Amino acid sequence: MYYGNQSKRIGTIVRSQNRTVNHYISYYANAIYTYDSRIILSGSYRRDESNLFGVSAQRKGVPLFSTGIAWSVAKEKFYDLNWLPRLQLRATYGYNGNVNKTISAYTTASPNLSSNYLGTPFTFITNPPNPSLRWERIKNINFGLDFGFKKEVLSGSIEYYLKNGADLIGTSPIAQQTGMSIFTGNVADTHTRGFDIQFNSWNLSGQFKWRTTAIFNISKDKVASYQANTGSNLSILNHRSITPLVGYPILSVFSFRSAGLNNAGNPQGYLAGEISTNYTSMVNSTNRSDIRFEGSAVPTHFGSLRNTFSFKAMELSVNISYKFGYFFRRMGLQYNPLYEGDNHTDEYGRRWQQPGDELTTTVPALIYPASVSRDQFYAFSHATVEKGDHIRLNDLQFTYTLAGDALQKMGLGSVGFYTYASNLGILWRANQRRIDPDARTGYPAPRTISFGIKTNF
Amino acid sequence: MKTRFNNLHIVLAGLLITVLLPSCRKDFLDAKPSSNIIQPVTLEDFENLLEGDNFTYSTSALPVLSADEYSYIDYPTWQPTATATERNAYMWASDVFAGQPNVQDWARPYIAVFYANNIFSGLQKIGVEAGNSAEWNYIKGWALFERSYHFYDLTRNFCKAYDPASSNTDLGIPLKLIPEIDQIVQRSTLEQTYQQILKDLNSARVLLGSSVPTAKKNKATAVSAYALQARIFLSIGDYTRAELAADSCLALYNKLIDYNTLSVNDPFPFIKTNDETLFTTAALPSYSATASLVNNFITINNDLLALYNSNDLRRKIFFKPSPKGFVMGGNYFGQNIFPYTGLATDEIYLIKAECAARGGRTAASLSALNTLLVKRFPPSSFVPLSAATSQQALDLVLSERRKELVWRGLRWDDLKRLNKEGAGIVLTRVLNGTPYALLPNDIRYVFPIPSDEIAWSGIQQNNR
Repeated sequence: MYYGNQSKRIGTIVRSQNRTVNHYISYYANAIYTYDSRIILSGSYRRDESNLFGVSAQRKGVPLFSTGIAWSVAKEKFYDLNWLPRLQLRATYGYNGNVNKTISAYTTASPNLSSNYLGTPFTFITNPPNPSLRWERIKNINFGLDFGFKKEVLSGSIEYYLKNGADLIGTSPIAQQTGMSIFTGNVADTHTRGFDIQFNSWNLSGQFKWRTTAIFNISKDKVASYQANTGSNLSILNHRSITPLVGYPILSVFSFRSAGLNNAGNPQGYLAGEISTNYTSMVNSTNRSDIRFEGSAVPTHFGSLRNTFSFKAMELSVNISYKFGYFFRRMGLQYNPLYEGDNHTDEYGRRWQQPGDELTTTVPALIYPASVSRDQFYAFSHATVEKGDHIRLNDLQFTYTLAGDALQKMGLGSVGFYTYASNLGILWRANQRRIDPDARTGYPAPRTISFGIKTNF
Repeated sequence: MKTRFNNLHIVLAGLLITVLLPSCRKDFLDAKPSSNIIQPVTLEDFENLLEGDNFTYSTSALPVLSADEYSYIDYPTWQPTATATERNAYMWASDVFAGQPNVQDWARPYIAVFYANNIFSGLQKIGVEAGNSAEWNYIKGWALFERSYHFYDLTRNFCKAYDPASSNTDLGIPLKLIPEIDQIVQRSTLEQTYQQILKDLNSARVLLGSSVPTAKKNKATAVSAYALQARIFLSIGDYTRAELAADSCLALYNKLIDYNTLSVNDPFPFIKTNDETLFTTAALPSYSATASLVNNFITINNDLLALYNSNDLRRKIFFKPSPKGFVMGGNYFGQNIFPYTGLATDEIYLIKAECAARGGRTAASLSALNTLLVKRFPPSSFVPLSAATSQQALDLVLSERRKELVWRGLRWDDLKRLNKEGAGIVLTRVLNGTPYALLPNDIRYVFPIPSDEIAWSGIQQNNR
């Protein structure tokens, strides 16, 4: 795109004021019924209404409800497991809706910031008419188990959930004959299920204490149906919204299948199963056998482990988190942006430079002029995908608490000195390039250390 | 049993019922979320949409990039050209956009069509009444004109030259006639496409007034509708109806600019509200080669420059010296750097002159031609053109078309049309010692449809 000299055509700026108004009305009802402290029934209903623009009255509100039952098994007469004094089973069923306030079923327009070439103010269309726009609806089903061993030596909960989304709003490319290039609307139904597990344990008690809290989450989701355009292979690869392919995770990483570099340093892919360097055809192909599914773009297994040790007045707590089962795409060398002074990547030094290099590198040779589709092919090929799995030392806290007669004489209850350090770094990562999968662009979250004194009077 | 019931207790928490009068609730929820968002429903709202730049910087630059009016100064200059489209269009590559998404040459005219379609469905809801009919008709006519104008821009670039013998099987464009984005249409036949364009244009002409605005040159009028008819009929080789439309246009409005009144040294000799302009559009601003002032990397071809008589004022006014030759200077878009592609009376005089010559009326042809040319030479050196035969007159007109309508995006259409009639014009370029040629009636005279449109609508691609 050429943008130089466009200031020539910017007319006078139209003076404008904007006021936004958000009105909400919520109706809320909640009831809980406990029978003999053994069985708890609960129900809640809620309706949210707002001044959503351009929708008919009955679409302005979203109902939500949930019902639940909990059964304290341990309180039943027949229950006789003394070593497990707490045992409860739970189940909930709920339903909620969601409205995206940024889109409307009707055509809407806004004043343009600058006037037209003759100095006349004008408006532009912000939302195309979409009579089939509906709310997003999500159905939730949860099953839970809470338990506690004697003296809470080991306690925790195990939860299994099902979450089915219907008519979820996402973006999808749309043919430009419509006057739009991106369609925002109801595109997909999704299924999610997973486990949330938490264990708390007292490993040591006495002079030296040691507690552990472990959280494990497993989540598996997939697109159950997709109603909008699935688009070209390239559009699937650089999709930032709901994956348009049924059966794959809601957020997925796909790549062009890669056949390495040829002996001229050009990256090779597949076109209808045949090795090809026809980049334009490959990026525009809709033959899904020429792309490969790498995996979920979000962690499917994640959680944390916090150990707290204390000895006399000292306490140390260490929190380690992990994210497993996902992939991300790193920035690959692209010559078009490189010639424009962008695309800072160390891959330039590892590019193909002479025949034979194709055996040791996947970075394409420098060509001039650059080719947009060759750049795109490489940037979205298997060569630039990394495994996201990593273990991180999240935070560390050390506390030293002084208490005693001497302090009390000074009028102080206790004095605590503490140090808290967070974002301490990655303990292990699957990728070999030392990329922080949580900070692929920009800077990683800065390491922080704080010191403090806490006292009671 | 009894003790159990003693244990029974009910907790009822947070039961809240909001009671509001229904009408009050309705007003509360009908409040506009942002004062900046409107739902266009009034005639004024529709006019505000029509004023937008989407209707002005809206025509494809491809016919300028691919025509024979300019050359890159050398190969090293061509190489780093900002977009692949510019490089490919220049050397008539089979693949022009190299997979680039969101190609504006295709998208922009369809944005204009989308706006027009929104206005039609809005107008339908208002209905015509005694009190609003003048304004209603004007808005409807303007929007119809815009749809016709932009459908035609798509047709001339993405379809073959019209041939009545094959127009029922040749591919036209997708005729999107409603604004709803959940509807996708396939390509019509070329015959259906032209029928739609001409039907819209005729309906527009009937609804629009016939006085050409002195300043608001973005507004459609019956005069610009006749002018567009003349352009379209000429391009499909219907010279009888083209002449009729040109005559109808000039009968209502025939002003010409006397180039003697312009300052040769002014970098922008024309004002955007000049007398000849009937309806303003410009090539879309995506390419550096079609942005004057910054395009010292191209030069206007010498064979084109050589056509001008040394006294011809156009030679000095249109072209400015550059380090390697000449580049485009000012155009009818005033202080704007993108090619003027709109309608103006000079083009209509040339259409009149051409059609008269093709009809064997040499005197009428020369009269129209000389009416234009007398405004292009100093009085002292103007010699009216003369021709012994209508064929000679036609040759003169076609040469004047090149000189007068340079850099207006019309040369490409002329090449398609004239080669179809047997003119045998071969385009050639040399790049890094390699010659490139575009033979008459080559399939590459039709641009490919951008690949993302093909992927998402499944419409048929052009064979290129």
